[in-house]
Amino acid sequence: MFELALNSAAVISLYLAVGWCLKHKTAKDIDEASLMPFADDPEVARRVERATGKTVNAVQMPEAEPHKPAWDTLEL
Amino acid sequence: MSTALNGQAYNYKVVRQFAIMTVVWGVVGMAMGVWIASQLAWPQMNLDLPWTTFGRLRPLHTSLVIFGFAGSAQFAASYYAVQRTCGVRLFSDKLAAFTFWGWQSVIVIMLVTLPLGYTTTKEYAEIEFTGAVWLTVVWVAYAIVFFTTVVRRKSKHIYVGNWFFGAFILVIAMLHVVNHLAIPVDWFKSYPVYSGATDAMVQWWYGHNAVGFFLTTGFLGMMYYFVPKQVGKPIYSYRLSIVHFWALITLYIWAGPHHLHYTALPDWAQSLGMAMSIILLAPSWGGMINGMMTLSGAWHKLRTDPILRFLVLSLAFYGMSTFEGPMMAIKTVNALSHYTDWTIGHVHAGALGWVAMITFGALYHMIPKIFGREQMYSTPLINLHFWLATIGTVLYIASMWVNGITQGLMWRAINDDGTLTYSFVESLQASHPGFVVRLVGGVFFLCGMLLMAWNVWRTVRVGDLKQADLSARIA
Repeated sequence: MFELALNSAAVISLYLAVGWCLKHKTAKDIDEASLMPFADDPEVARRVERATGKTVNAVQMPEAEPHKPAWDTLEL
Repeated sequence: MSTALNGQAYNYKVVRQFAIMTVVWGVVGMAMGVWIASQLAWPQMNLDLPWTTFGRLRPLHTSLVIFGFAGSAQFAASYYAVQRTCGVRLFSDKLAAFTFWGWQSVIVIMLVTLPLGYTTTKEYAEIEFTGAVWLTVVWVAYAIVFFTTVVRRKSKHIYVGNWFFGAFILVIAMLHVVNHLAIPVDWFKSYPVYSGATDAMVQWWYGHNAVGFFLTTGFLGMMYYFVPKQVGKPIYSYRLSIVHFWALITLYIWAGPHHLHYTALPDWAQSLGMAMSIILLAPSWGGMINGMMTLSGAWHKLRTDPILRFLVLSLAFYGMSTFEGPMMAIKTVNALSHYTDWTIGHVHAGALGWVAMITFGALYHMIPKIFGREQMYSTPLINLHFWLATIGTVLYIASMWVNGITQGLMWRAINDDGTLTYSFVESLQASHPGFVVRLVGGVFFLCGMLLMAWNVWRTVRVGDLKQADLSARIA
């Protein structure tokens, strides 16, 4: 009986955890989340937008920092 | 598209360092594997020296490929992906650099101490006390770098790949500390606080989750980033990825007892491990299907993209291994397979087929980007690597299947009067051809790895770090 209760608690906990993660997630939110790997490169984002028809919330990249060699790190 | 200026760039230096060391430890660890495979076929390869005996080199092989090769790959991939999906630079350049040098020193400790015979004798946890404590320190630094980066993210949502990386980091910390609890009597000699069946249970709770979290959960984080990126399409079902995550981490942690079937471990624990291992099939295949179906509408890319071939085949082997594993976890099946080469075949289907191939795909994707190149030095070499790796893996698995069944059946065969039909030596003799074929498979795989090292070297040595920095701008 105790084992049954424990097992049921585990299944219910799993269900609630997944439900909590998906709470308030609209289809749009889910779509946006799935496009996150493409968001930081506008050129790639445009390709993906063309391929999927979805909008990728990409942002423009600023200039990079100059490369600073350091005495204590291996330069490759 | 919105614009947002940020003065920072990504920290690609630590990613470069870990990527290179992944290749280095891959070569060394797999060469060690080929050496020990030759020792099983021809015992003269032990060289009659204590430091080069199978008993000492086998744990060195497993440590180098798991912690050196797979571990460095995990660091590289997680540091790369977490920055790019959070839109911020990695937290603390100094701490990130510490994790690199600290991790390499842990591998060097294993490289030196294991052949010298300093060992806890616990599989995948052989590193002795001082090394284990140092590993914990490095791991805590890793957790700080990773989680602080996530907390400081620009995006509201935490991409699913980062959930997998985060779970991998936290659970490995717990597993490592609990399994290594010991009373030290010297710098490299300690006695576990557990004993008997309890010790066995803790060890295999750790051991299976070394596979389940170190070699699966973390690499699924890699999969969820690099497969969509290489395909150029988002993951097939983001909802499924969330369900996959929670179900996988809930179930995997219970599977350890399937290593202890028909031992002194209590029967209820064996049955629990078996049941959870079988249920684990569902989330594992959910993840595999999610990755595979991402190629919907893009299967034609497999014709021309060998990097994608690595990623897709890794998912296929992942599916195969996560079917084979639950089957072997069934007690009646395990009664035949336990202690045989079938277990080794299963391990390597996962290690070569899933872990190594997803690593190759991820590295071939990442290395040009972090070294400022358009692509790898030679795409045909990637393709040749792919075929060598595939043939090697298939030879390895098939020979170990044949050996495993042969051994299991021979060991269990009894005459009418109850005596054993075969002596142990007869089963060894029957296994010899399989040992040779496995060695050939390993050589194929190692040759592929050497080709990769050459290709990476040729790419890196003309690498343009200024170009890499330009592409490391944060969006």
